[in-house]
Amino acid sequence: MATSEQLHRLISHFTSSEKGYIKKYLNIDPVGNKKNILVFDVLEKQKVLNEPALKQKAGKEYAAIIDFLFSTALNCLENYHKNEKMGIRSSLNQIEILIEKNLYLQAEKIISKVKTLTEKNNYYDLYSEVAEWEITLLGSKPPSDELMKVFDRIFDKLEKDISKQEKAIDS
Amino acid sequence: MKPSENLYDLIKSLTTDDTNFIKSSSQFHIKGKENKYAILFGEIEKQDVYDETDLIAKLNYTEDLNKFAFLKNYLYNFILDNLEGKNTFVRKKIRSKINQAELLIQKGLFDMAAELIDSAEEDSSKTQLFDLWIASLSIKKIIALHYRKPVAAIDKEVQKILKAKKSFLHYRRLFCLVRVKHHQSAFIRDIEQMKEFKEVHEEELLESDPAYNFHHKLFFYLSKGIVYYAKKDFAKSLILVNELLKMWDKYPWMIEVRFSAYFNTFFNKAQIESNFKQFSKAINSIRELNNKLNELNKENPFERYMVYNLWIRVYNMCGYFDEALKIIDEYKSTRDSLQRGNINPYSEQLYHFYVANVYFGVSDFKSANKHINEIINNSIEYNNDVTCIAQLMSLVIHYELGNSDLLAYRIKSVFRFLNKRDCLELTINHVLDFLRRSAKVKNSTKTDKDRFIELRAQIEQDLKIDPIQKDVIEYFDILSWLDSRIENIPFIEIAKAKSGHALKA
Repeated sequence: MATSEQLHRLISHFTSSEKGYIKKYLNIDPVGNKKNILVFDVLEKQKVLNEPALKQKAGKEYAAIIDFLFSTALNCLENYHKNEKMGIRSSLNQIEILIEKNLYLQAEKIISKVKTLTEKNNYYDLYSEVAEWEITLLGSKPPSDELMKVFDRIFDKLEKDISKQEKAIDS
Repeated sequence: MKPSENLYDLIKSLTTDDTNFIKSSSQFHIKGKENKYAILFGEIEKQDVYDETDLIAKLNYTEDLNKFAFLKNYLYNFILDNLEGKNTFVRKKIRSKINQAELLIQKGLFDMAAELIDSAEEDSSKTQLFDLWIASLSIKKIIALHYRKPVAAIDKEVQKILKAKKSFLHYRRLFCLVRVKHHQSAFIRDIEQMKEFKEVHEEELLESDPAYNFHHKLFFYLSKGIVYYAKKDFAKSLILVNELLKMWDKYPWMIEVRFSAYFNTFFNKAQIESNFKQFSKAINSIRELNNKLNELNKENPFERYMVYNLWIRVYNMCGYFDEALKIIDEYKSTRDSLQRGNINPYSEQLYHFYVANVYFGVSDFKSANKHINEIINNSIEYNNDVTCIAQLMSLVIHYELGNSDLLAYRIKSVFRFLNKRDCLELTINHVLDFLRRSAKVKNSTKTDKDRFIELRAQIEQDLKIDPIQKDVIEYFDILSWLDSRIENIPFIEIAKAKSGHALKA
């Protein structure tokens, strides 16, 4: 399916508030092409895809604009909705950013928050991702026998979780 | 209670590019005048030291501190959300595809979700990020079930990934444990008999399939590298570093996924070369690492700082304290540019220890004393060896400064301290004895040559009896110090000659 068709289908499944959110985003995009909004406005009103009408608005940049609108629509949809798992994934992104900036204490706070959440809900893959960052941060702590025990506890839990996942597939 | 400086630290860690992005995004919510949080952002940006009282006054929140706290929190989350939106790192891209696929499934758009999830699977398998790979496959399974397609192949793939992940965790754990042990102390006898080292020493790679074993191999080589390094088998350490370099060449996209391991490969290379007494090569490797950081646009000041740490260490090791002195201002300013959150006991301990060594090397004992005192008085503790050697160095510095009263007073407490830390190695004990006797003589700097010769002979003997004594000398070159006193030649000249004038142009 062509991207223009996919985009049209996608937009037609959006609620009016989701569409409003995309429009707002397109309006403030500082580097965005003004034609993006024009094409989106036309597309949104089309019950059946009418490519010539879109091409008329977009001109030579048609293909690039359609690609941009498709990825923007998906990104906006993602930003607009955040369920629990998406929230955790977002926290994982932020942990990575904070660690990259060496703001370890701030990263630790988020880790501790999402660790509880992932453990409580048995989100094994997400817990494992959180644990990987926790292990990274523990590596910067002063070396001690106690630290070795902490590592052991984390790895033991991760290994147990794998066994549980394996069993779940077998059953 | 002290106000939280998290927001200040976060704003100060932003690059120009980050700041511009955040400022333009803040236009999203503007209605009429500028946003309060955009104003707060601008005010914090201007501050050199966090001053909350000033901010509260400027933004007129004196009567409503709760609202100010809310604004701070809002701005903090706004910045993080924007940094997340702006970043394009691989894990985030995959997570985003997974999120979007889940949302498309909710809207009944299974075919579009399938395309996204195929792409997420491809990215996660290429980078061997097991958790994201499994998450992608679990959505793939939902889509397959929707289309009533068989799912056995998906389950089989997940089983294989779980098995690979188990092996990976095995090496990851070994690496963590052996690294802790190695960082605790180098004064370990019969290293191969120690549980942590023995396990790694006897390990062979479990997973052979290259589609699943990149991260295994990485931690396998890193762990083994630590063991060989601890055993001072630098030839084998170097072989492992070269294996790692080959891996980075073969899988360049993995550099982003495991950047700290990539950084450590080059860092370790320089470190091993310097231990191998290949000082020129080590300096070139450090320059290469610095260039890599430039090429990859790595703006993290902590990585730069660690490069300087190593640079100074290598100069110190080959006696080129004068060369170290030339870059000491850059070293200091890189450290000063670190945010509060960047500073940790490891980096601080090394900084003061290395700088003290530089000043000792150029016979600026007052400056050396200042930095050694930073370690001792502020109890900067990370590596037990450095903590102990700092105590010993402090005594030698007082000896050089002619502080015989202070020396006599401090020897007892240092002795107790080292004893408690299980750090009274033969050599250290003999130096303490020597200083104790010297402190009894009124003018300690005029100790006769014979006593230096006697101590030197004793240490030579210690080295023959127990190879661990060599580690003590590596931290602080007592022999070169004694030679300089015996021959009345500056310490720096003796140290340079000992390295065979390693960096001679």
